[in-house]
Amino acid sequence: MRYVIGRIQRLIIVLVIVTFTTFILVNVLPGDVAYQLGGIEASEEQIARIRQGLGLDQPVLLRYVSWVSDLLRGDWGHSLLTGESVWEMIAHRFPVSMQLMLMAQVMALAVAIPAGLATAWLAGGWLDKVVTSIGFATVSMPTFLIAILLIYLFSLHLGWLPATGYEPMSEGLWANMRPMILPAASLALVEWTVLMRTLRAEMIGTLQENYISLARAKGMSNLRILFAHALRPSSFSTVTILGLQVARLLSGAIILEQIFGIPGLGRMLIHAVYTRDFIVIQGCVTFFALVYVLMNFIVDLAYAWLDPRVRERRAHG
Amino acid sequence: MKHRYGRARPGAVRRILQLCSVSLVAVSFSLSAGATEARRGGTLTVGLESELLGFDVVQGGSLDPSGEITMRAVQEPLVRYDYETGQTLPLLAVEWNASEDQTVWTLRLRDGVLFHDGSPFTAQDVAAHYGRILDPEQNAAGRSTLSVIESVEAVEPLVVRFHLRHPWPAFLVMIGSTGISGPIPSAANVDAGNQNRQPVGTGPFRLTQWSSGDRLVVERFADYWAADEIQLDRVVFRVLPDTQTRYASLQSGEIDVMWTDRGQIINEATGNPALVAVSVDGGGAENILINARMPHLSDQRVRAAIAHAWNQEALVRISWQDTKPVIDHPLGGTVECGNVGYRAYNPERARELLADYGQPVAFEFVHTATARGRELGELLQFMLQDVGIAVTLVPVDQSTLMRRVATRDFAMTGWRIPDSPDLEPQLYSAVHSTSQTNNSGVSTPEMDAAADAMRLATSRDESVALQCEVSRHINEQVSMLWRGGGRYHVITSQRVQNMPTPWRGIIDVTRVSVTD
Amino acid sequence: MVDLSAVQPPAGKDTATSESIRIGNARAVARHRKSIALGLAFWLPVGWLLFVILASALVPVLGPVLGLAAPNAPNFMNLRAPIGTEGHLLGTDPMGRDLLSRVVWGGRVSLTVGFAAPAIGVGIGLVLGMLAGYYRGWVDEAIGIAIDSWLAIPGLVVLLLFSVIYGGSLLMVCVSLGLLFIPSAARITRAATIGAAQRDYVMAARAMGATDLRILLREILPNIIWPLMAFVMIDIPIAIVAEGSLSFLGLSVQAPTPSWGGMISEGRDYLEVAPHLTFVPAAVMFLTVLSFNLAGDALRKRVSGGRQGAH
Repeated sequence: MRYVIGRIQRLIIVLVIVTFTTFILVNVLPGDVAYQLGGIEASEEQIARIRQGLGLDQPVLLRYVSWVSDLLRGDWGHSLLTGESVWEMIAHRFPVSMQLMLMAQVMALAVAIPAGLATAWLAGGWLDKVVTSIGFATVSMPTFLIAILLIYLFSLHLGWLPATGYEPMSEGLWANMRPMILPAASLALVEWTVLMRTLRAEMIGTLQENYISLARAKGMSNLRILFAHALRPSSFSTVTILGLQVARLLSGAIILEQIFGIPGLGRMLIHAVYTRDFIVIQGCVTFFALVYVLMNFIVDLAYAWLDPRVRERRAHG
Repeated sequence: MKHRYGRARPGAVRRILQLCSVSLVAVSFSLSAGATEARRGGTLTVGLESELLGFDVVQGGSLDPSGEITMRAVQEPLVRYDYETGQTLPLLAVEWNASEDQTVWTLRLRDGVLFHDGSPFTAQDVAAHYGRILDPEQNAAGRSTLSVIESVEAVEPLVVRFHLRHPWPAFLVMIGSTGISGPIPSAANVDAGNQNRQPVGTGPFRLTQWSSGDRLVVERFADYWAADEIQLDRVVFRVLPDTQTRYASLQSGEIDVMWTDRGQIINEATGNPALVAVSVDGGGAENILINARMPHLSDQRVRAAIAHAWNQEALVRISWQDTKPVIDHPLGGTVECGNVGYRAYNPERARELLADYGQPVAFEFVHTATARGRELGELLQFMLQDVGIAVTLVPVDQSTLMRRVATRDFAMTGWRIPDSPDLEPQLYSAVHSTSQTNNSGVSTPEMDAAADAMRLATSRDESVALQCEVSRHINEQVSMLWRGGGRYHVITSQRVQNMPTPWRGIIDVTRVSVTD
Repeated sequence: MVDLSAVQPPAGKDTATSESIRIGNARAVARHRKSIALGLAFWLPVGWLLFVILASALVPVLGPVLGLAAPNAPNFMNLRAPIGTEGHLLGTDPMGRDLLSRVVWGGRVSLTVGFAAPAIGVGIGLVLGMLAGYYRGWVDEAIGIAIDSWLAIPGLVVLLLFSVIYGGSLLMVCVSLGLLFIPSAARITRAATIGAAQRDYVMAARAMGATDLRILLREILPNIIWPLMAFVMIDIPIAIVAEGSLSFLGLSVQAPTPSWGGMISEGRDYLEVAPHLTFVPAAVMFLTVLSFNLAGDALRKRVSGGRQGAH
């Protein structure tokens, strides 16, 4: 319990630091939303009045305090540009980004699990070498490059999948999934290597355990041994990695949403930075930080729960 | 004296003939299709480059072309300008007249027009709308442009009167504009504070869904005053900022209409039999501002040298792939100004002028950190380096660029003169010494005199002649460089029928119909 | 920019994982002794890397001698020339500039960032990690919180904000990318320092009244620096990919300096009519990153394999 309280304390301190740092960073951005609102023919005097109207002429510290106190009351503020509620914007966009990341993870796992099992089973063989080489190749490509290659191949040449776009779930499940396939695959192609290698390494360890040899001796089929007996005890690290990839996926999603025209959180954030919509940037970064911190918190707890030694070590460390 | 105002902008009719051949095919194609039975119903999907901030004239600010396209479906202005005849045609106002001195305009409004919420449209709505724009407290983006209007009053339920500070030939064109302030909202909805995101207008479509960053959906308004002119049941405006994305979506049939200024895509679409590419010539210009408040650039010889070092043809070739015309003034290809003193590409002359100036010249060029911005910067840098001017490139994002222009914190930067049926207001604000948006800071007494005369001109011919005069001063003083004129490109799929010519690149989708 | 945030192997659990990967590899390697020797899989990538590094280092001097066109000279009459054009071996870009020359010059940006950013990040991370691991207590706690907070902001957002505030320069890119390498470097250093601080020779030095600074520099640093160097090897390709992503978004070095990511982004508009504009820089970037990965992996295997043998 003391461990949990300690973690929560730390979590809160981290959130305060993150929000404050972001607030400062965002406020030293050159230019502000007033120029965007004023348009191409606005004069400096007009700009000054727009800024005043938005309260942007107040000191930074004062604005931060009022932003935090609003946040604590559940009010994430409103976009300076459109007046939309920031929380509603996030609530609209996050499921889209979430879907992209989930689809990517599922694809990555769908490739990584069989590949990890096969290469562990046949470690050192030609299949192992081929799969490992492919892994090296995909992990050596930036996400944007994979995205361009996939668009070039599957949209422009084969014409199988749309290069871009987004359809809400209300248009039907397939209509919704179809344009997400290429962006999710772009993410998955970078992610699967890590999963595969982790699984392979742990699997090689498991396969040397006595009970596996026993199962072999009993004449159990290879597939049965792999899936029924070896997979579960070998997937601990892989599951952990899955949880920890959230931060990486978030960054990857930001670029892919840009390339594929997906209206997710990442595109909203980039747009907000370019238009200097301070409250939206602030809300987004806070939300990202919250997700990240909570994920880590949960992983930490899970670790402590699974392995009491961690709890001990952390409490004393 | 009662008359319908509106004279053809010189050559406006000829302009249609100057559409490039592809577009002629396209227009005749859609016209002939329109002659056959138009299909009622269906959904049209439009791919937009950006999303409008909102429908309220104060909170939403001025609209870019994407915003105008959306706005037109939902709200309407009092009148509309017919680019082909140069006439002003009725919309929410049915007739109008001006006082003898042309400073009081009285407009009679259409009877029986309803807003989307079922309430009647009256002169009160018009008066309240303009009252709000002109109120200095509100900071409406269009206020400076419309500052000639002194007040607007509702005389009778269907009669509204505009009082001007002086005669203004651009008046009808300006109240018919959809870009700044023309479209009239329901005053009650504006007062309730809902207009920006939940607009109530008199347009043929009402907004039913807005997922920001993704799409706006509008559906047919059953009680529209000209309901039988409307074929579509629904229009979906998709927000797809990336041009490649937009074009790919058009090719795969996810959208039906898009606008672009990317030469590569326009040329590809022109060669694609599955698509219809429409081009329209207009006014306005892409330009490069030169800030004469900066060292070196305050000297007219240096600015002239820059103009002679600048190879507009090369830029139009590389950046636009010849999809925009090379220009010597911003009034459009159909306006014959004669010799406007354009400084042609002539590096020798540039070197002579610099030798005469005698000091080494170096400054910064601010550009957007986009592929296009970089390209412009690299070309300018290379051309000026060729005559011995050192240019440092400063990449910034759009927002910073706008701030640097507004605060005059730039030496040179890419900018544009937006097109309009009447370019007088844009030119005036770009050159007059008292204008707050004279970004180049170049002005001479002769230039001011020409601009003043232009603003007060009583006829369009006189106004256009003076617009040429102002353009001549711009070239003489080199307050800006030209980097391509107004030619606008719209690409549609084959299922789009009856699309009106997209003047200024603004696609009026309200009267379009679609086949299956 | 998935690859970018690989910069941030989150938390100590990750080191545990990479440990298990290493051990796993080591086991496999132990069974296949032959692969321990640095074979073709090592020398081929190293050969390519040497070629790229030498070419980009020497191009200002050798380029003109060998008749390589200037990277920034546009030619309006020769836009998007195909591969094999007379005088332009790899063709020309949308502004008519020589593609080969731009690819070689572009390597300067990628490689500079590739070496400088990890160096900056590991340098700062080393100091923080040693302080945290040596002093523990509140110093450890404070550094830990600072690192947690830094990790909670997505890396791309940090880069975006920095590039908007400070504009695109090589220094800005190196520093802001470098900052993102701090957390992982600090964590690894911290763990290593904690281990080293408990060794007898450190205890002995302390008992003899050596100052903290002396212990840190003389006793602990030499013992933790080598594992950290292996870590730098992993960071180099990550930094190159991250710089490419930034260039692709137009947030890296300013024009007209060519960079691989920037060239890929410029070529994207012409993917259908002139795919080589995208694929030439993409291939060079891919081969370089792959070579760093392969060479690094071969080295790691050798190190861990060697250890295995020593036990």
